[in-house]
Amino acid sequence: MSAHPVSKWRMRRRVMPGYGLTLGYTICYLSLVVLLPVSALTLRAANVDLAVYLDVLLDPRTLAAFRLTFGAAFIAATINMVFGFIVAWTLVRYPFPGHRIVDAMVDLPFALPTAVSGIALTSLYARTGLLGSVLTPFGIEVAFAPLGVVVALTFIGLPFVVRTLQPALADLDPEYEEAALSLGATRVQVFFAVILPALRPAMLTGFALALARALGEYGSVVFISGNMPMRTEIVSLLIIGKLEQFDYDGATALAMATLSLSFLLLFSINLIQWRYAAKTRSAA
Amino acid sequence: MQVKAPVVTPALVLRLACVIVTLAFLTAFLLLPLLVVFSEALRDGLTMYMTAITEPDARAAIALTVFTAIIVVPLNIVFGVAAAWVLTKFEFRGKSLLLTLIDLPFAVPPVIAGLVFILLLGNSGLLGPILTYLDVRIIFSTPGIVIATLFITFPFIARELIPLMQEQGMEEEQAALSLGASGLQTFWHVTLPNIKWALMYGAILCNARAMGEFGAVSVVSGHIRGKTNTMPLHVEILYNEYNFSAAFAVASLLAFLALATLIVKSLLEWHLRRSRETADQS
Amino acid sequence: MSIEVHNISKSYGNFQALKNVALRVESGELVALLGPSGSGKTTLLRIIAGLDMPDPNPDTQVLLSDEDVAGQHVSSRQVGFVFQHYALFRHMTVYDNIAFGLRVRPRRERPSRAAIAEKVHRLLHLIQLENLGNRYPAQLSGGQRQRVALARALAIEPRVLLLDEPFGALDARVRQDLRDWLRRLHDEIHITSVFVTHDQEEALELANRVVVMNEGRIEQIGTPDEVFHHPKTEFVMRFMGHVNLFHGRVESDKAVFGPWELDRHATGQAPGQDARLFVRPHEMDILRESDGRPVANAVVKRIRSAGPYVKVELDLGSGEVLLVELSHDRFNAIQPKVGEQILVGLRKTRVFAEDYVI
Repeated sequence: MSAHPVSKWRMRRRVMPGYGLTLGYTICYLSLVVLLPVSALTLRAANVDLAVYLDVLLDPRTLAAFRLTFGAAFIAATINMVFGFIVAWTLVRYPFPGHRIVDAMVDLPFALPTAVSGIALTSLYARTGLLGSVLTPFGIEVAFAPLGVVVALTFIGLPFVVRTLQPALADLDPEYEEAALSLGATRVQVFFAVILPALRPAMLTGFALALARALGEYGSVVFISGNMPMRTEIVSLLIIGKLEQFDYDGATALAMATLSLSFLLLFSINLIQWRYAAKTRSAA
Repeated sequence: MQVKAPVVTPALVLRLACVIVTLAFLTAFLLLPLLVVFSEALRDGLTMYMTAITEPDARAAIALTVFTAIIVVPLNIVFGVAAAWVLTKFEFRGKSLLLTLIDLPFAVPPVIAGLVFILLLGNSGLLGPILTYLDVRIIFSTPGIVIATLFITFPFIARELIPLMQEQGMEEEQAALSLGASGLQTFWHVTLPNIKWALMYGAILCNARAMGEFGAVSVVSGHIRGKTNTMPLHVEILYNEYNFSAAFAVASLLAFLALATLIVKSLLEWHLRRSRETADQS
Repeated sequence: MSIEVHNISKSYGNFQALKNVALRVESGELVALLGPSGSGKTTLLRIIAGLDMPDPNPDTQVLLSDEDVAGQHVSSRQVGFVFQHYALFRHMTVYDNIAFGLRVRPRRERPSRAAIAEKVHRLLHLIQLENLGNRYPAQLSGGQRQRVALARALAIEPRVLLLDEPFGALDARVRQDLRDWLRRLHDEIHITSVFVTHDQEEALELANRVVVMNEGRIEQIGTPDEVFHHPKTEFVMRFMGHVNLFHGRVESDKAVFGPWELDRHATGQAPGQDARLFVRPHEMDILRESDGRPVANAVVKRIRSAGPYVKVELDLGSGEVLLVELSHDRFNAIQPKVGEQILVGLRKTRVFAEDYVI
């Protein structure tokens, strides 16, 4: 019954079952589906000539695409911060008839395939579309213009901001506001001095998530942007263009540049978060 | 001191303004696009609509989309459960690295995900020579679509399960083991019932993304009509051919999928909240 | 069924939770593992159960009725373990919780459906919850959950019963009731049981023997009387309740602690060292005149007469506050007043050498 005194320790080091099986499976599957493919990109990237990088990245068309992608993503994330805040605030603080349905609808951009969003937004904002026909007389062009890219990116980024802000708002103890009000602060002062600072981490996180999603977005943008070189062409589209010409080195160079830039951007947002967290921790 | 507040207070005005802005913004950005899909789809009448979604190319696209989801979702469920199990029940070196790597596909834009698989499995890719030798074609064919979708939807289920299983701890599993249950019995009778709602939640999100993925699939599919076209790709082709009502007809099917996803998701959230509440009580 | 462990060590990173512990529990005993949090008592209990593994060491032994189970998994040790927070299966009814251990047995060892039903009903009767078999754990009170957890553990006819802080999560009243009930249950079924607690009163009241633990070691093993009245170490002395402490020195024939002089031989300490005197509040007395025992002058600072004892705080003049517990009869006989000068005497003393290393 009892095993050899030394070998028995080799039998069981963990009480919960399935360690070897689940760890092994997780690592194998992760390696096959994620690590191996991603390493193919980095390997390729390492073998691309510096000249190709410079050639591709300094091309005015590339620069314009980067400006549009990052600029539009940034503007869209900012719009979402403002309106996403109002939406989240309303859904948490001011329940109205049907707010549950509205709440569920917020996830629509997440659930709706991007190609569908793309064509729907395009026909909505085209010169003859429901909203486009209203805006065109004012000289506002959305579809087939840079503004269309912003609209599409705002659409797909919205749930990220709302869904990060909602729990933070729900956790916000009314005691703080009441304390500030009892100390004689006005509602406006309370908003800027008490509520906004408390929500800052969640707002930044939501911003970062919306931005990250917007930077890589493709489906909803290609239809509405019109894809005019130098004007409404995003980086993802440039990559596809290179692939269609079998210029894999060029595509790789563009991909590496996008990934590095977006990681850098998100990393600096995280850095702000950490700084802020460290500051509030030491203050507490 | 007032006993009753006046009918119109600044707070009420603010409240109304917030509700109105919210509804207006969401109508313009969410509701109208959704309505446009359905109205455009039916623009040429119900007969055209039915034709558009039953013609052979559309049927092939639907079949390929469903086929892809049927392969991808179960694979990611198995992975999600295994990864959540190992990450929440054990302590080991490199745990946080593993957690980060699982999230990696979320950080890769869809088009770049597609590029990654071309560089790995394409003719001039890393494994290209081997695949050519074996006469296996992955890129520009169905396997490529499945693999790219697998990559894109990779973290969905693990991400839902990990926080929940972390919260639930492992005392119930340990109790089951101490009562003589085997590992498999413990998982089946104790763990699985406790995570089933979260698992389904992750699965429907994974399914929605798998069926709707566009960028990555677009890169690896090669757009071969009736062969390597998924529903979103079919929508794109019809749209680019100015066959708008047909494009919107197929798109409306995807919109139904999205609505169904949202409804199921809301129901599951309700269940999840409830199972969390009972977890707090016990 | 006896329990015996030898050479048990357990470390988590740099923290040593258990340092070479050995223990024997006789068949039919009810033993308490008593200690502060972090003393290793729960870790020891979990190692006996097989829920934690001790550090690898060929000399380590975990014996259940003299069979070494150290290499066995928890699922084959057949121990009944009651978790601190009960760990009831939240999606199963009370009935299904109790039946679980029987239903997961391999088919040829599994009792028939009828036999399982009969057993579960017997256990429900034992825990006085006959009518609640269809409830879910979330619908039960804390005390009821605790009893279901116990019944679930007993259903597998365990060789030993292990309970982790069995009353820790309950309020005072339920705690006392459940304690009495568990005592009676143990008298009835006589299963070898070990429970973990940080409450010395609980340990003293319930257990046949108490194992006092501190910083991963066993300080003392003994009957409740032994550990309370004859603590072997300063730690045990302190842990068993409030003590008054005096620093002093042992000389060739006497030991001097502040105002008191004791006979050195009575202290049992070698001469020429610093030492500490411990006196429990109920082992002191208040006097109006010396009765020949060592006494000291003190001023009454505060009197609290609520509860079974009267607690009197005294000032020895040096600013040190001394706590004395008197029976109400004794208090009424003396009738001290706040601010009054009075004598304090020692009825029982314990001296520990200053350099005593634990």
